[in-house]
Amino acid sequence: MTDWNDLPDEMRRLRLDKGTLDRLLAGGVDPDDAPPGYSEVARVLQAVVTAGDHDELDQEAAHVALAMKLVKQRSPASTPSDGRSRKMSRNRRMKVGGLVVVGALVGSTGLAAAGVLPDAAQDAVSNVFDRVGITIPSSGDHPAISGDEVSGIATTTDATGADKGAEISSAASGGMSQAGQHGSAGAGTDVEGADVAPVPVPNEGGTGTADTASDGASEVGTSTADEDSAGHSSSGSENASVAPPVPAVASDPPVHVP
Amino acid sequence: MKRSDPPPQSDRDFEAVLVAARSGQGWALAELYRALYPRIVRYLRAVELTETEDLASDTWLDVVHGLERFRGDEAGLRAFSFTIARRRLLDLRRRRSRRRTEPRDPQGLIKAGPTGNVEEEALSSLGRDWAINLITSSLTSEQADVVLLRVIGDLDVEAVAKIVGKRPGTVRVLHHRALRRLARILQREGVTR
Repeated sequence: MTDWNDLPDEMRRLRLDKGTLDRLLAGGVDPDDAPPGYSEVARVLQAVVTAGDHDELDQEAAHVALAMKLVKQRSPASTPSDGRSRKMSRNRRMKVGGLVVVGALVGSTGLAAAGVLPDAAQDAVSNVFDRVGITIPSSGDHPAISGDEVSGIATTTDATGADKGAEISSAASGGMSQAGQHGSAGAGTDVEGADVAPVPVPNEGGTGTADTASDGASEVGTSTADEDSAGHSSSGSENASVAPPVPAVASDPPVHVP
Repeated sequence: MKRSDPPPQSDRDFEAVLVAARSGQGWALAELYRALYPRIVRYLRAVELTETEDLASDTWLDVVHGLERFRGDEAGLRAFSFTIARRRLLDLRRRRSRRRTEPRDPQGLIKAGPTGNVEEEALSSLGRDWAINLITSSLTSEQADVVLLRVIGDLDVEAVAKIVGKRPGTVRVLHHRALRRLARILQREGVTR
């Protein structure tokens, strides 16, 4: 009969040091030499490590044959006897990976330089390259100049016809427009040269037609205008006989100026 | 001597067996099989009542498959094998937990039941199965697992700790508590009878 206060004594008695614990678990302690209270435990652990039944090896032939088949199924290249094939495949993987990285860098840099990446990507690439001193346009950098500047060019340029149109569109698109470089403007039958506006030139026959049509009333209008303008209106009549400077019509579609 | 013939026993060391097994030589694979398979089967039978043969077969094939990447000595290969066996076991339990019914071997249930007259059994037939059943039915599953891995697998504390995913100190404590519990149970049975 044990009392409740026997427990601490029992606990003390069953204490094991590390070495004994290891030897017991390895089945290396004879039950007769086991510490107090552990002789039966030593017997149990020894029983566990005793040789197994023969039925554990019943399927040896089949399992070994299966294992041989499994090993043989592998290609000779994957035999790891010298680790060479593994190293080669690793090298190949590294090369392919390097090529992918270089390709991505070159490709994205080219696209960034052309300014055709999406805004976020363009800004990111621009920032990165700015740090190493390479200027890549950001998403906010438009190649075209302002509308006022384009308007100024349009009103002040000495060029006429297709040249003028080409100059304006070129300025507006930052040099990307090809207006005036392809095709000819030559729709006008009386005008030679591709850079002349394709507008039919009014001929003097128009005056006669006007007189006939107005029964001479146009003469009255002319003289009235002469009187009212102190002779200045005659210059307009003279100018009417030559082709007025008409803005050229570019062969490319109109460029939108921001 | 043919290439597939095993070298004389005296010349055979673990590394040579391993190299030969990797190249698919039958004698080497058979040697590894005899060293590993019985232990794996015994461990699985101790902790699992059903499908142990399938588990052990799958474990053996996984070990063969993993020989190529294995680096280490004989004890390391044992630890490698038991790691695979335990993962297979956990996979099986996980799959089973998703099933609605759980097939159990009636013979296994009888073996895993109460141990009866412990002293009598201990004195008359301290067989291996009895001892394993005593461990699995008396200890917590955690304690039984680390004890069986240590004893059947012939693994050190560090290897067991790695396999069960615990610290070596924790495994040591579990070992200590397990043996103390076994000692108390065996003593109590002996005193009361």
